[in-house]
Amino acid sequence: MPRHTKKYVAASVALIMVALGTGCSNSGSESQTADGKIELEFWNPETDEAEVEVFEKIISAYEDDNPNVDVKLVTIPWSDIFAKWQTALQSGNAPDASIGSVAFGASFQEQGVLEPLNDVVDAIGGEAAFADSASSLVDLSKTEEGDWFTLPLVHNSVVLWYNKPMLEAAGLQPPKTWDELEAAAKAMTHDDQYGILIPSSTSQVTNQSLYSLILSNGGDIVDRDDPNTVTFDEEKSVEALEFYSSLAQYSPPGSGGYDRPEAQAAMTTGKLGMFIYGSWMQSALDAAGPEVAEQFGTVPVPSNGGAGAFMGNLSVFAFKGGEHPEETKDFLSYFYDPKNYEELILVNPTSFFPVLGEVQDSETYQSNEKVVASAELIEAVKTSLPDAWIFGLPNPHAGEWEGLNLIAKAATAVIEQGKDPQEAAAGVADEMRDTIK
Amino acid sequence: MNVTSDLETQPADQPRRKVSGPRPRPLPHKKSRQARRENLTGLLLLLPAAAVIVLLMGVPLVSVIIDSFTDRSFLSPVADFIGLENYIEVLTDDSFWSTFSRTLIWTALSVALQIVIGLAFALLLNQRFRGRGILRGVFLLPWVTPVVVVALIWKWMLNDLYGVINNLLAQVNPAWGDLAWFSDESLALWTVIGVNVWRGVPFTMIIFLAGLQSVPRELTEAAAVDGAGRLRTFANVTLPHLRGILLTVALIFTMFNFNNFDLVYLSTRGGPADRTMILPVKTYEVAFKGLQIGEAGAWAVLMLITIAILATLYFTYVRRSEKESR
Repeated sequence: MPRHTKKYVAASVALIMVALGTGCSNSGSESQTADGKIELEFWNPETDEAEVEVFEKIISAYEDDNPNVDVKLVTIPWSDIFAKWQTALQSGNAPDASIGSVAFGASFQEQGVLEPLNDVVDAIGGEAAFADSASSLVDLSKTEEGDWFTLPLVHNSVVLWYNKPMLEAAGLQPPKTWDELEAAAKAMTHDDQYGILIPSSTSQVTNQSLYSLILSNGGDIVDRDDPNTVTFDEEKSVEALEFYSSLAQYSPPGSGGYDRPEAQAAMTTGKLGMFIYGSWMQSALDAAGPEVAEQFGTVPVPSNGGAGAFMGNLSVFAFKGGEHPEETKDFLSYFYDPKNYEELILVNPTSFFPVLGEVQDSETYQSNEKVVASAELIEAVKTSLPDAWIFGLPNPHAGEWEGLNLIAKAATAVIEQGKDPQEAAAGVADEMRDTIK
Repeated sequence: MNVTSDLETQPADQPRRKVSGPRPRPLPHKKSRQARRENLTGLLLLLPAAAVIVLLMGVPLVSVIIDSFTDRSFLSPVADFIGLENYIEVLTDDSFWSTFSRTLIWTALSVALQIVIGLAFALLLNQRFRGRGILRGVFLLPWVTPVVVVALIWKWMLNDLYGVINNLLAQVNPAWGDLAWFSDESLALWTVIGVNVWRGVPFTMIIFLAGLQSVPRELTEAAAVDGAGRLRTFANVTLPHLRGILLTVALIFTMFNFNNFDLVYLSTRGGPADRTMILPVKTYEVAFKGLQIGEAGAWAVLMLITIAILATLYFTYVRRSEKESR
């Protein structure tokens, strides 16, 4: 081979090696920055700008107090984060810690990839630091042996939203039972307005509304004492599915395609009487303007013999295998420092209901302008929380079922395809059983 | 409006093409040392780019094919070889054939409408009239608008509660205001196809417009002298001239639409009740919602086989047509 050709070959091979080397050097997560600082990676699924800002502010304060630590905040939306966690775990690039929900935490605990956080609980004052409203969340966060693998950060619940002028025009009080709910939905459906929003898309919004009705009927999707027994196709759940589907006649024709943004936007039109949905909708109503937000009232989800509603939560967990477990725990406990914690809660108090008793009772929290303005909603959440439950727990596959919107699938089948509720529930229950196998 | 053909503005002394004549003599088979060295240099310079392509396309492709024969899942770090089990599961799944046929309908209708409407607009914009330049720019807007914006705009305009189009329709007939374009099982697929056509037409239009401007003026003039009307001139002169472009656009848009994921996912996520579920969305759902990488690999490989068959049919047709036209 001529000499200059050899040069070309060498140059090309070198270029490829450089390209490959560059690619490879990014494939592992670095635990130290160039200036020798310890680097912690912290994942967050909350994409709301104000919430991300408050996380950044707390992180920045932590870095000021701990100049040898650099915390990298990575925001990944809820819709993608479960797959990202799994991919990161399989490639050995899991973050040091992450915000998630207790359901996802249960799934990771089952996989044995979480670091116990007992030290963090001790640092924030032990189990007694958590408020009564968080008791079910606390129970689900630790093992029978008392080891904490996830830590509750905030919680909230689904409630019944109602349009005050519309309900008043119908001469009705906010419903407390299923019969009253149906009567109100019927009474408010006329002309170009609809009594209730019943989403039937295979989405989280359907999952959460329907699950709340299952609990309020005294059912659940698994047996809590024997979590591998699926009960979604049993009487109470099927009754709730049937009732949910029967309410669809009072819902706008397009609600089969509504996910969270469309549902929230629909509520702001003033053409919808009621909606069984999370307290977090308040921020969407506020964004639409005070004249829209003040139209709405909230009460706990109407009951049919049972009690409860879907519980939303943010929990934190740390992955095993990180190079700096002590710094990670120290960083996580920083979130629960009363000053930082209050700052976090007050960024969105209708969505971030505190799990710490001391903060719930504090003067600063109770007299906060946003808290006072949302007193009715916060009261409805507070009333709902003791019976509220997390979708599918304590089965460790709960996060997976929620991600797949499995029970929403049954609502879609009944409302959109006219399937028999029992048959639709049985189909979904079998899918749940398959994942357990 | 003074409408005249753009072709009339072309210079009359445009050189005529040579249609026949002696073929150039092939180069001697034996290459010189200099030529071989140049070839080698060219190949070596291409090597880094080729390596990047292999890394970015080839490696994932091979990885997907291998995964399709395993039970790989996001939930387990271990994957076992399971042979054709994923393929059997997919092909015997009730939803496969409905999803497959829906994807073909989606692709065929989208391509056909994008070509026909794009060609019609190109013919219109090839005429000379005041404001033509501005109109050409405006017509490109749907294509340059990000797909996420396109999906949101249409979802909001066609909402049964607060959509501007539904409000206008309700003025004509109150029942039309209740039409749930993206949520009604009988409407959703046609609505998404409509939005896809709206988005794709500007691109086909601009390609056809470029093609129309290269139609030799003397051919259309000759047709006019022979007494051919506009329609006949279009059918016998313009269209044959655009044949190559038409076939290329058909191939590119078939592949583009067959693999289209974003518009459907952003507007309906395959719903309601799977009525807009097409293969790319289904593959994504199996992989990232169901977390079953092996099974999703089988869906993806079946898509790849289908698109390869379509491309082979296309090239066979093109080769045969070329032979016949010689």
